[in-house]
Amino acid sequence: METLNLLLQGFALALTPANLIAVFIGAFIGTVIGVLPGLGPTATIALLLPITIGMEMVTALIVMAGIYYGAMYGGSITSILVNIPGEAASVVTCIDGYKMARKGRAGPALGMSAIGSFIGGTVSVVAVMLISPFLAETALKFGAPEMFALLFFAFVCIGGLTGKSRVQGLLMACFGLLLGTVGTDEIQGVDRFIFGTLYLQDGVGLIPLAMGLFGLGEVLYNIEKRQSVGEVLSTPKGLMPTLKDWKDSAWPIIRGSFLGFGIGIIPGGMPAIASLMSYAVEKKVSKHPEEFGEGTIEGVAGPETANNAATAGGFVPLLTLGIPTNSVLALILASMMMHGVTPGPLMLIKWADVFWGVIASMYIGNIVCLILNLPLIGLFVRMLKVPYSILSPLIIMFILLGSYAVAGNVSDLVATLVFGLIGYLMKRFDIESAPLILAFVLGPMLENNLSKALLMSRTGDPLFFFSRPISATLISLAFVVLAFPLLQWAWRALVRPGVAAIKPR
Amino acid sequence: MFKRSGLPVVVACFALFCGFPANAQEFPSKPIEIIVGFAPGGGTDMAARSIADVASKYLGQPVVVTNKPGATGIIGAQYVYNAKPDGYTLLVAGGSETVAVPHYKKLAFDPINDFDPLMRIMVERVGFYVLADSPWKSMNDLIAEGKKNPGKLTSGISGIGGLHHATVQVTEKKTGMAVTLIPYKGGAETLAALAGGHVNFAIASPNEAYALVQAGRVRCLALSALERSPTEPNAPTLKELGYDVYIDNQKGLVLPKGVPPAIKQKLADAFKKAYDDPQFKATAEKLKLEISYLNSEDFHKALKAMYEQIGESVKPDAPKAP
Repeated sequence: METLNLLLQGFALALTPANLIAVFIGAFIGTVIGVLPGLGPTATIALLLPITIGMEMVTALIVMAGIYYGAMYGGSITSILVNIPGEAASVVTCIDGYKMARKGRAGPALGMSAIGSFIGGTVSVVAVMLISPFLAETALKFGAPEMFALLFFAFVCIGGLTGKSRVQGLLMACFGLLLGTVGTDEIQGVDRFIFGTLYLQDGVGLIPLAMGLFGLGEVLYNIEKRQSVGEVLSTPKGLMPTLKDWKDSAWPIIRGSFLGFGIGIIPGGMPAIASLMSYAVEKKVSKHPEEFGEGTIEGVAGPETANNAATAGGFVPLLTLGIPTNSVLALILASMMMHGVTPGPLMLIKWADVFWGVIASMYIGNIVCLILNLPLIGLFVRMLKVPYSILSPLIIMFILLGSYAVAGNVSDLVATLVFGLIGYLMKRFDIESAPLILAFVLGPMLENNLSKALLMSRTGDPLFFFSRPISATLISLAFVVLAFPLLQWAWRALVRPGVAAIKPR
Repeated sequence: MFKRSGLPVVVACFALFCGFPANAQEFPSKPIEIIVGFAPGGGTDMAARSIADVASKYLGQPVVVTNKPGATGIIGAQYVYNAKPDGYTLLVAGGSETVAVPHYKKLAFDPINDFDPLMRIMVERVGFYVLADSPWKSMNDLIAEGKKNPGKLTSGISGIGGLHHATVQVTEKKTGMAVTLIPYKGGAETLAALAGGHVNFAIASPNEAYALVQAGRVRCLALSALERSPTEPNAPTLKELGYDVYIDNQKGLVLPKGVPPAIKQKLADAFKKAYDDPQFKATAEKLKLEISYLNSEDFHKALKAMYEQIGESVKPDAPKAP
């Protein structure tokens, strides 16, 4: 009851005209920068930081939070329409979202991703509100061994993530793993495959890789085929999701909400990882995994829900412990400190109004994002009617602009072009890129956490993972998933013939 | 007629586009860029942003902060090293990329002598943090444990081959303790690992640990500074405890070598005014940044001393870059 009271007070604060305008501005800017590749929430909030100092604390926080989750809404738009991920968190949306657009179902894809984002965001905010302090403690227990176990579990799930050809899919996953090893090893400091360059020390960037592989590769391929946009993207059939879409998306959205929130509160868990994990899980549990990568709505709804849920989840460690889990949250922390607010357990005591004001504004912000996004879908889809001869140079320009803007590094442009070429070849020979991206992102994390965990164990004993409850559970689960096909086979081979034998003729 | 009157215009246009050698009188005639070699939100970035805002008031031109993150600050440093020495490009330097990384990796430039220091803005102290209920009540307890059971203690550090890595190595050398290093990505992740009990102690800066200290989750055992820090007044320095360790994460502005002295002077004056401005001091206070001015010459000396001090302990068994 007291919580409700405090929340109502928060709403009273968030619904003042100034703060309401702040919600709108934040959500709008966020959506726009989410759409524009390269310009992410980190750079935007950094630029706006001096302005936020002059604002009221709550207003400033509302604007920044609005930008952050607005970007997650906006990021999916370009992924779906033109195969350019606007944000790292939307990379995975390219896989099925763009295929849906090509089938003329851009509208439902955009609609479902906005609705999923809304639900994921809202569920997450409710969770932040109700169980923040308790969850923050649990999340801290997630160290390297637990993270390794989680990633191991994810990898086992992805094992089946190979579409048409298993061999091809596994080869692409290996290529992704190989690309992931490039750079200075984060544990020993040894350089790997950097060819004496400074640029490769930090490894291959996800944004150049994804923009080249998906965006540029696609444009090059289409130019080669001299397709007009009418052929590339068939005319939209309906803007809103159908009843079947709703039914198909219900479970992915529910799973995505909880998965995203769970990953968001873990130190080091980013929205990008949440969306990748969600994709892997959806494919694993799906009754028709072969449709993933061919434009299935579950592959859009799940990840898009998860990245928004992770965004809100990230506020848990920030508000309750003062630990920012990524650079956007670090900037928000800096802004709070500039206003004299120190996040942590004291926040609920000393700055309760700020805490509840932000929570309330996140509810409102999610609604605003939905309102902003849904009516615009028609407009976005119409954009695809622009002749491809005009659209394709524009897309290329955006890709190059975006890949430079991420870090202001010319080498990123070169990387984008190289991956564009690889992406083109992969399209040309009809090779799937999903296993590559997943392995590229999760592989280095798996390795890093394995090394850290083994360092922590001091003896390097692999049984160390079974001495900790969370990692023991996750690894055991992974083995169950691994053994499942074997058990299935055994069941069929041993039991079923028996059943058939006693069946009377 | 047309030709004669047209020529000077053409020349003027040409001059405008090519830019005649920078003139100190006119300086600055366009925005000034401060390069930060790290992502937004960290200590280096915050120092740059808080002073940039105020400095534009005294320079009459916008001062923009540009993040060029990568390779522990080296990508940004390399960019400024290659930049035109016209006073329009500055680097925030003095931390990992200047005094630590060169001991672990071969660089294309000399981080101490290939730059022209302008001034030091702040120092970020380096602290040894443990959980509030940790069995080690003092730094001496921790050192004793590290000596008794070499390699048993785990230490969370922010990044391999950076200043915090170097701090542990210098401390190991000077105290005789031996620990197992566990590198994390950035200060926040390191502190989260400590708060979760995944490492025995962590190296962090007091401004980053502030929230957790206020919450009573972690405490600071010692700092590697010369004097006690106002943010951690109860933590002794290693020097106080009798160990010859002094490492500060200095943050200041440096120029590429070859900036004309008059322009350098103009920049130095403007940034000193910005440093003395109450607005900058207030921002720094709130962010728990410990501002600490040194002029060009003293900053250069301080960097050199730090570089050499770390080099003594790190060089012999440093991981070699292939």
